[in-house]
Amino acid sequence: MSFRFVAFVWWSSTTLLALPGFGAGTITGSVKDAGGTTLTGVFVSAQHTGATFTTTVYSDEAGRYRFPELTAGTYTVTAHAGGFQPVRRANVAVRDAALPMDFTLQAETRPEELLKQARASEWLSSLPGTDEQKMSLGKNCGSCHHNLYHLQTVRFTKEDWVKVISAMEKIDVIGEIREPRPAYYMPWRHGTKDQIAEFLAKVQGPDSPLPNVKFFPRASGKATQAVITEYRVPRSNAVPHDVQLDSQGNAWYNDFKTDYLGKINPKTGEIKEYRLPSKPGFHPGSSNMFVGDDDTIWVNQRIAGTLTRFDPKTEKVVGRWERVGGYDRFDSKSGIAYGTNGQLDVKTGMVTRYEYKADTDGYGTAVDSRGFAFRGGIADSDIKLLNPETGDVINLLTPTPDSGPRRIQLDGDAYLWFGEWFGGKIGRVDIRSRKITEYSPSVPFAAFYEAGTDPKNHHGWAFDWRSDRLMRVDPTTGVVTEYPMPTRDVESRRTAVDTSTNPPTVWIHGAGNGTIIRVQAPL
Amino acid sequence: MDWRRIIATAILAVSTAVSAPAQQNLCDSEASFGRSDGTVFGRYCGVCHTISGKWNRIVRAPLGGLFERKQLVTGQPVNEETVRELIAKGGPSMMPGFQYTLTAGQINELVQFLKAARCPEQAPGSQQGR
Repeated sequence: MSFRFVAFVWWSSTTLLALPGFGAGTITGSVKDAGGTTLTGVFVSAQHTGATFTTTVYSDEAGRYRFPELTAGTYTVTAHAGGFQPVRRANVAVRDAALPMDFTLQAETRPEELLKQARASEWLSSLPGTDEQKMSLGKNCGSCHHNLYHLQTVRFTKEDWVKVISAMEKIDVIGEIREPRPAYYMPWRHGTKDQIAEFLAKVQGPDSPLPNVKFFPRASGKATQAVITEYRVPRSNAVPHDVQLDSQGNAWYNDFKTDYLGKINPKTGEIKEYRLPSKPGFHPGSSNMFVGDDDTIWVNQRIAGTLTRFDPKTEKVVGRWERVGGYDRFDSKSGIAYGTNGQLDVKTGMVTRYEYKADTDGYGTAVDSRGFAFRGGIADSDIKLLNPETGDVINLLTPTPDSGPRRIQLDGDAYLWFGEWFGGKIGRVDIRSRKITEYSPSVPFAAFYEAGTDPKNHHGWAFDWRSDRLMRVDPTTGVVTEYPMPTRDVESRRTAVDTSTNPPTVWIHGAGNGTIIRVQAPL
Repeated sequence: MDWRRIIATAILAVSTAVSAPAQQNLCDSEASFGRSDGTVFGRYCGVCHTISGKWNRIVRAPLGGLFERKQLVTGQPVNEETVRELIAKGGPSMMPGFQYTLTAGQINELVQFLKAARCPEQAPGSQQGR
């Protein structure tokens, strides 16, 4: 097997300083506006010089913030929030004590700067036009994989917008032409092609004024206790597609556009990257990945149609198959990888395909411990329950029509969580009773690519692409807690929860901004 | 002439960085549609075009070596003025005009970049560069 193994380590001085014995301190203070009013939910971010990551906390209801223990050293500290000019303090020396640091934020009034701060749904909300017109952008232009930010940077006449939309119709999410049409091609929603071009020419035309951006409420209450760590993937071109956890709490990520596989050790901050084999002539990017029960990493290179198994212990590829389909879990005792459409025997390479009695079309996939399979029916607005033994297919329609369930995740064998890409809600299926419950965020134009789960506390976690907010759902109370992310354009497709920590540690990935993000949020 | 080649001959882009290492990086990163780098080319042109022609984009022919070609998709000769106009006004079929998006300075930078843009395997005079 020809395997190009190239590993490099992003091993910063901060990583070494993070080890015990180098001292630690913190920074604490208040955040107010120019009038002296305390501000809640403002991001305060600290980055150690040369570090792989940035730590962010929110100001609380009293306008106070406090970082968790910070390794001694020199930091850059920034207080920032939509509608305010960021305040940046460089060369901040953190020693063994609590360093006081107060911030006073001046209101930002420059329209072009406000636009740079706006999240996608804040931009949509601020545009002139009807909700139908705005949803036509979110659900068509944003239906593939970009988050509408690019629309804000271009201006065309209506005739040229028609050209742009016509080009977009032909390509898939990596930008390559697919004949006769891209996979998961969807019908136009909330407007025709011509109507969308007309609306775009109105809001992003030659003479369109900049919108008067209105920002959504910031984090509040319990959410302000969260600590967010953003790890910067050490490549300028990184597009992490998934994040998954091994049994040691390491976060693994793949890349949608390249052949990289990476690992973050949250204990040290070390980021290590590997290169997977590429298939000559085929796009090297990967999509779905999962971690087997033996901690091997399974990566699906979508365009090349290859499945690769990587062993972290030997740091080598230990299995590679072509055109065997997608899989969701691996049982090392039996040596079988289980997918929704079949099984792969890793020793023989034999694939056993399932035969179902009805259509199983869907986007997200999951397989429970019994081998039952599930799919998120993005086109059918249902969750499909599949029985490989009998071939039975049960369609559970979501209460919200045209909801577009996308990726899904199981909470044991009892519950299944899903994100509604078009419906803008987070859903949970009680598998036994087959009842679906939906939970709504506070913000409009939401789009959830998936929903993850905390199987210890039975909470759901999902990320809204349009507002850049991670959300936790407590199904016992129905409460949705929202955690805005510090850096815009996250675009996370996967939520992985480490329940070995207290509180559970939630990981998402920034396909849009090249980060892997850890969120530590008290229950 | 292949229509894709004709269209490709017409379009343009790229940023200010024209050093050899920068171009190597650009060509290596072209698989990342629409996000290849922070350059003007990567942000505005890379959605449809590549310098290498390696990927199956809207326009499949490479933009490397553009100024060695005889004519643009418009039938005009390839020179700074005609390329600048094509970027600003758009092409006859699929390419939109960037006159309301890019400044005159940015368009000039793109023109200068395209004059030098070439992947390492696209040596002057090679077939792939054409």
